[in-house]
Amino acid sequence: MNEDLNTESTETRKCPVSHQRVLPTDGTPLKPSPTLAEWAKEGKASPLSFTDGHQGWIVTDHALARDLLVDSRFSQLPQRIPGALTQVAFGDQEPDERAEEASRLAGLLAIDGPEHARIRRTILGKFSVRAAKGHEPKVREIVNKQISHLSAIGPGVDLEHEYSNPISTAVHGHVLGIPEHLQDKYYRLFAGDSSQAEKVYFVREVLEIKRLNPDDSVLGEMIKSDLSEVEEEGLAFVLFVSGRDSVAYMITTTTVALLQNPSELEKLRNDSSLIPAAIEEFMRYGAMFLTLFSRTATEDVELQGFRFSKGDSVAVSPVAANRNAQVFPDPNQFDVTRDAFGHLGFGHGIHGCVGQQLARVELRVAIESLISKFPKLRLLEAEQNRPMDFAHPVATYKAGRATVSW
Amino acid sequence: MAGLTAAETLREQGYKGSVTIIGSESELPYQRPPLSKQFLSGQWGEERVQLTSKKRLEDLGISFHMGVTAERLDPSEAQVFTSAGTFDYEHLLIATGAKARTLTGISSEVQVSYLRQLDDAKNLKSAIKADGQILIIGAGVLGSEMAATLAQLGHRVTLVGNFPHPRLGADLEILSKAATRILLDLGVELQMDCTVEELSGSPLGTLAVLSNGFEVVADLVIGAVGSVPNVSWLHGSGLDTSNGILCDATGRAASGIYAVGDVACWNSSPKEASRIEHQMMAIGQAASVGTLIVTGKPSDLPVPYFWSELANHRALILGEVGADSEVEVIAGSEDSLKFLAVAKSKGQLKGLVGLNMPKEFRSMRPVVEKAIRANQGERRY
Repeated sequence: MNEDLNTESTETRKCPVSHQRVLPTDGTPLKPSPTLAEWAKEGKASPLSFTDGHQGWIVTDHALARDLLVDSRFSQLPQRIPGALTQVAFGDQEPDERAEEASRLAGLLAIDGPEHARIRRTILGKFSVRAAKGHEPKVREIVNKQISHLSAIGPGVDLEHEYSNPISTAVHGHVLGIPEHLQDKYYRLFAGDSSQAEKVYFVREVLEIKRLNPDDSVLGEMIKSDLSEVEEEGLAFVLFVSGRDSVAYMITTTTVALLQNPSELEKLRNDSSLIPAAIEEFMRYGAMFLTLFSRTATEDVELQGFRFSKGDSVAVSPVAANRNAQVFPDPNQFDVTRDAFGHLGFGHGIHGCVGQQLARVELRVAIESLISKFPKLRLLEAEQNRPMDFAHPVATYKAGRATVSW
Repeated sequence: MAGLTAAETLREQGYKGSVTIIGSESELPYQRPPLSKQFLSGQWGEERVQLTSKKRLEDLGISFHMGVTAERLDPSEAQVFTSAGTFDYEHLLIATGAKARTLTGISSEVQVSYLRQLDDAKNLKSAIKADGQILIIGAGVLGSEMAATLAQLGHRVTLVGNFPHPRLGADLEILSKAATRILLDLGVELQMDCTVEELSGSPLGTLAVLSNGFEVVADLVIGAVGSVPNVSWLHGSGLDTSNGILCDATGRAASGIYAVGDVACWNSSPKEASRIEHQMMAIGQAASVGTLIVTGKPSDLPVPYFWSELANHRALILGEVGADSEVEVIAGSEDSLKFLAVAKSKGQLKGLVGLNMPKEFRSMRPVVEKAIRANQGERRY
């Protein structure tokens, strides 16, 4: 079946004018794009027009997505974005050549193989299950502080702004090793509006301090490794940016999902031991990434009966794969007791989320505390209930305002 | 209020030219909202409603002409003709407000009182007899407030309204039901969903025949049937005054001419122009125009906000709410006459309504206001 479809679609691909299929914007985090669901019914992958106009593929099937993400015949290069905006790293505001070089060398999501592995390895140990567990007391302290903040300013608050973002930023800053006195600035620049140049200069400022006193934080560990200064800067930039917004997104989106599905929330309130496993369902159901960074086939590849030609751009869709009915029965049902392991909410393979264990701890503590401290929590409005612009050039959903009271 | 705010804003923003206020009333600017409540009940004296003093106006370099009525505007010559001579202007800000709409078709022997200005309130107070029967025609926010105030003072009050429930400024069922209960508890006789068919003199007092067949004999009849913008003096000026003075989204009615407050109809969204008769909006508009004249850029308008008081009950209303709002009580309950509710339209937050829960309202207000702003689309309040 796929071969037929593939042949047909390959024909389609040669005729870019008549069948423009761009990433659909009709979805929301909890009710992902109906268009994408239609595509998923057509086959394991569908043709997709990328922003630069070239034709590639979007993978919607779960098994194909997982196989593809661990297949070394697919490269992260050249990095092409399926979403709406232009470039990932430095856009039109390049601070200087060094920053550009740093982003090229250590933009971990845009390099392959041994070079990628070498850089990723320098920080991998800092994100292990054990390391994440070690951060739990600090995460709890940060969450408690934010709960007190809510109590002080509430009962009406915007959860994303007053809870999720402050927590994810504080944990991120703590784990990376951003000095205490620069945490506020980190929040301002990276959770607020700032230029690319401001961010780069901030990364350098922090690295200068860490070089004088390399501690056992992530940045400290990186400084002690054998990376060049330019590589350090690039890696640090990626770490400063990545994951912080995603964790905040997940805290907000999960809360919205729970408040809109009161019976599921009740289950967790009655038995908090369900929460650790429920994290996987949160990640499956509220997946942020409509597609990951696209891969390029470096040779002709056949996977799961689907043929990709050398040079094909392939964008894997966690959102679509996570709603695959074969793997997750009744996939549009939010079910905190289901076995959701195998979801692609953190990606998969060598480029999968390096901070996922930490993210699990943050999400668990943040949700657990919120629902236990505010037994009457209710959702007044969630901006994310209607389609918004993508949050990022890689086509991710945004959490948006979530106005709650209690 | 609006005129004074605009003048003060001009000075705050550093305007160096001369500022002149012309007012037809024989008092310094005062607040209108307390007139139907604290002032009418006697809780507040005249000094409490006053907004400014001669001294303060002098300090700000604002020249104030009391008891002077604007009679004609000539935009081509940039001149306003008044009962006290001609004034030239560079920028003209019109804040002539609105007057009470009067009942029509009434026989000449019947006296109807209205409440709009401080003078009206003073006259009304002296017209009230100790054990008389009062008939209030119009059960909007003003009529309901007066009914509550007068009933609380021990007067017999009948309130007539041509819709099913009294309305507290917004056509919201939850507020109307609460108002009904409060007024009934105060002993107000409610005659709703009916009109006055006839008002005539009788030996016992004014006889009112209602469309539902009831008759009321009253010692005092008060009309509270809305307002009419004071625009008759602008006849021939070329301004569009079909529903107040039509302005763009920044309050500009014509080159160098602005209008704010009850008399103004701002084209605040691409689809509709509206007159919003709330004190807070008048203040916001006046500050915005004052800023616009000095800096070239208008300041933000507030999200609509107003309050109403029925005896000791206080309702607070934020945002755009109306009959089609989806209302959800988030604290308290309707039954207890203490509640906080959000109003939504198509799932989006549009307003916040509170009755007797001021603390909770204050706490919710910023976040709801933020959501309303985000949901307001192209509308400029």
